[in-house]
Amino acid sequence: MTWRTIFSSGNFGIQWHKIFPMSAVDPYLVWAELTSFKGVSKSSSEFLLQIAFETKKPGALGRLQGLFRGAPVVRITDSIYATHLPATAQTIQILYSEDARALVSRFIMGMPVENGLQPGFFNAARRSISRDAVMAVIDDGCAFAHDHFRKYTGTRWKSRVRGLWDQNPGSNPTAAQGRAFSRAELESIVNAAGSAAEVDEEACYRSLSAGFSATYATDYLLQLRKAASHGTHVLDLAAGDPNPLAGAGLGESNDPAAKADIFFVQLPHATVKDTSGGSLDVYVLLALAYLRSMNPQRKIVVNLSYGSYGGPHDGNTLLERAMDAFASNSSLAEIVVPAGNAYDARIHAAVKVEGGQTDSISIHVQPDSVTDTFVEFWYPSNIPGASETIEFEVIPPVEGAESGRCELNSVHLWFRPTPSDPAPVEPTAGVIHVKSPSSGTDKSMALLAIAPTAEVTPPRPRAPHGKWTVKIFNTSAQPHAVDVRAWVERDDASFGSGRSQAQADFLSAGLGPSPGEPHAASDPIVRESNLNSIGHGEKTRVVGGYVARQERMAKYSASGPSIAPDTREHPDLVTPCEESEVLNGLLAAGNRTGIHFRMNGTSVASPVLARALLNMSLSGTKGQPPTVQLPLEPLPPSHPPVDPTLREGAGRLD
Amino acid sequence: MPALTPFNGSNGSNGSNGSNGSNGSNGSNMADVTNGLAAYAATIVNPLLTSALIQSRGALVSGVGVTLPGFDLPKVWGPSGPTDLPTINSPAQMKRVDATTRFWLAHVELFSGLKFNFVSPDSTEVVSAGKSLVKIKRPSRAKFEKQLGRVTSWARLRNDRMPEILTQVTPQWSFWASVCNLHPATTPFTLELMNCALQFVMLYTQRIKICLACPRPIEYSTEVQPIVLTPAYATYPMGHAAEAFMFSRVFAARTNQSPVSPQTVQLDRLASRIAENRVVAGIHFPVDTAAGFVLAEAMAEYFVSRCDGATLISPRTFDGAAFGDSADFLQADVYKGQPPLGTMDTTPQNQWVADKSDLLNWLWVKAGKELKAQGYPVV
Repeated sequence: MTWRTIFSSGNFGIQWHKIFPMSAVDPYLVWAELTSFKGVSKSSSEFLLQIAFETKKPGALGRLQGLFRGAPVVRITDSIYATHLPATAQTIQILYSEDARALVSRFIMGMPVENGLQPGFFNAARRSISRDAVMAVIDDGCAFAHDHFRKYTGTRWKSRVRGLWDQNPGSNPTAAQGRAFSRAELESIVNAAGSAAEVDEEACYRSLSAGFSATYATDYLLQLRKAASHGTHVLDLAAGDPNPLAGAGLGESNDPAAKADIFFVQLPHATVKDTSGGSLDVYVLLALAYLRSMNPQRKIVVNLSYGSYGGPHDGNTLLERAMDAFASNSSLAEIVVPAGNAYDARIHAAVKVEGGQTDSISIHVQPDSVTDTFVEFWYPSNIPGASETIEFEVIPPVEGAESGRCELNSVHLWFRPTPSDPAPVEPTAGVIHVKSPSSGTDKSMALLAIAPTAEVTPPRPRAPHGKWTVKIFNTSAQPHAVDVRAWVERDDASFGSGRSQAQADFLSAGLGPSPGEPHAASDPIVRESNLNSIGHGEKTRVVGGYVARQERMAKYSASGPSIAPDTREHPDLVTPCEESEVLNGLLAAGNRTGIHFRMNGTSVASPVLARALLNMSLSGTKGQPPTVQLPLEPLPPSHPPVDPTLREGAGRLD
Repeated sequence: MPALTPFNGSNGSNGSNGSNGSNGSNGSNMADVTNGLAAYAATIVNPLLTSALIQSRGALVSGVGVTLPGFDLPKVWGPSGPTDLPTINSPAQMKRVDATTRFWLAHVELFSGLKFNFVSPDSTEVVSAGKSLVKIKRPSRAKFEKQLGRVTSWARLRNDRMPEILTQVTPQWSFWASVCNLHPATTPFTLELMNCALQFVMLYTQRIKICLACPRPIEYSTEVQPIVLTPAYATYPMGHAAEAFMFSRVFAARTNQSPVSPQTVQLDRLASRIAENRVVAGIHFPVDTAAGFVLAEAMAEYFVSRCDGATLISPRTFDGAAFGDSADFLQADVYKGQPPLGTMDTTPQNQWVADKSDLLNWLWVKAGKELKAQGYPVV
């Protein structure tokens, strides 16, 4: 037996077992600390933890600043704030102290960074209030010099981009995180690089990068010298001039959105590459704060074509709450997110475990994966007598390596001896089983974390790939059945990363169903409830995708419902994300004016709705966007019978 | 002549290698330049040309007597022996021999002196004059069955690796050339030398394969379903691993690079990747790679020792039974000379040096000179 229950370990000697029963805990932070943050940071120097937190009562800014000893605290909503603190044992102790517990209900971690935001970043007098509603895109890659995002006024070029905030740490060569550019700055770059006839787009990006740190300038140019980027494509669909959808007969070429002003927030590259999405939330929260501070009195339609698979799937993550709070003021903000692409990805499983019974779920962990694999097991924490009786045992694909049972509020770690490392100090895998995970409420969560299966730098123990089984025990003497839901966290290669397939998925008893095949009732894999982890908010617009010509659902477009009563049942509606069965994806802008490319997924469905919402706002139309209530072409008869509205919502946007 | 014909002419026998990958050794194509005329005459029976040659000679040569050309042919022949003919058994003759023939001559040199001991029930040993070179033991059937789980798990990467799998079926000259900057115009003798090394290790791998008789993954389960045709010979040791690591070791030796020089590390990583792709394709077990690697280490030392007459050979052993049930081949283990990748006997009384072959040495020196001209630290 090489598994051990740990009581204090990791970099900071934190006594997790004492903290778990008292505080909401981010199990990802626990795993990061136990593995010396190697999975989330390449930096060996001192770094800062970016933290977002929710307070128990609104308006606690002063007391928070006291608690965090002067670290700059950014207000996101009345009860959600963000800050950055040194990654030290002392910080972790403060976060879990009695004082913090009195004030803070939960917090989440972003990507460790070397520098934090400049104090007063959001208060600086740089507001750029537009005359009309604007489009804001939070994404990766912004070809601001592309012809679709500038216009010639007769004497000079005018940039349609009113504000560009690059959140990358190296974008500011001083000791601060991120760098914001005003429209005037972007315009002077564009005008210096061209004439009425032609703009040297390459020169624009070189010019912008001149102010970055040398390392980031290289990354920045590398991204914009590639033919395609996710962000530029999404931005073109959301607000490009002309409307790229017109080419496919899906919209008006010269719609109001084509003339609208634009804000763009460039997410940090490290966060984009962190495919589990765990570090995204803090940056999006900061992006929302930036957008509000830039344009506080006009409507902003925000498109966020990102997301992952994990989470409680009940709308209670910090980011979902914050987005709902933003979007609640519907006269000022709309937030649009994709439904997700997980419908046929086998990433959601469910078992009901009766008292005294055991069930199990198996996962295939990919070979040659350079990232951690995470599987989240969620179950209700509020069932009297049954909520503390669930235990997990992990069986790796190596004989004699069973974990033993991991009870509530404990951590089991696998220290796997190998010929080259007979007494490892770093875990190969772990189960972190907590009553109050910070990403949800009223649910307990066990996080199965598995180290990379490929050799990585800096070196880490290499986990075996193949079939991992998790046994779930309900030790209750009562016959309560506990509904345990499991999601494999996203680990797909991000756009343009060139990485290999790393997405783990669930295995079923036999060979498992292929997409489009029925699966047995005993199969733990469930096709419903695999919406994007940030797609359960009540006020956020959630968009699925369909194949425009054939008028049928895209096979991957995810399905509701949320795992909570009286919450979101399904995406709001579906928009085109594939032009036809043979013309995959939607054609929109690449990184240069002469380049167009096709991209698919609900990432491109989302900006289609965002554009429609902006058009309605700019043309004075009120109410819901126009939808067709007719259901789409039914799926093949062999497909598991699912209520079509769970994927289509109100219908397709016409 | 077509640009990409393999060794042409005399080597119809090469066709027999077609199935096993080392045949691409011939694809290096230096023979086209050096051997074109001989091949043309021998291979392509062209009655028109033959008639033309007879007719032309008839018109040009008037008498039946023979006139010597009037210049000194023996200078071309090389150093003279006592009968005014070239010196016997001289490596200087190698330059007067076409590349295909040199290729086979190298094999005569390499194979003479090596013997197999068949150690029942599960091992085989390659020896030379009573000295051990390498001993390989096969795993049990139960071990292969356990390893089958690795194979099906790796199968998940087939989509991802397909271009590599399909282009690496034949020897990976494009991949090696991309690391080492090899080209028929600038490094013809290096290509020839490496070609000999690859063919040598391939043939010994085949001999060990047929001896140890280990079935392929496809023979254990109907669910492996490989994406390339499973070769009609045994799985263990893996020929691709043996060849790719052979390339790395021999190239490093010829260019005086340490096993951890940046280029050698790249060649080793390439070798691991090539071997891994064979597992992904579904035609090998990870343990096959480990055995192939150990075999290559031993065969490379023997090859280099035959070429330079100085390299010390440390006998290797590999015990497939000791390889972990769920283990994969790890690049990190390559530099250790210890389990899980076999053992290396460095006790002085067990180390030995092979007899230097003058013919192999000629090729070794030629390759060395052109690599030195490329900037490699050849002494």
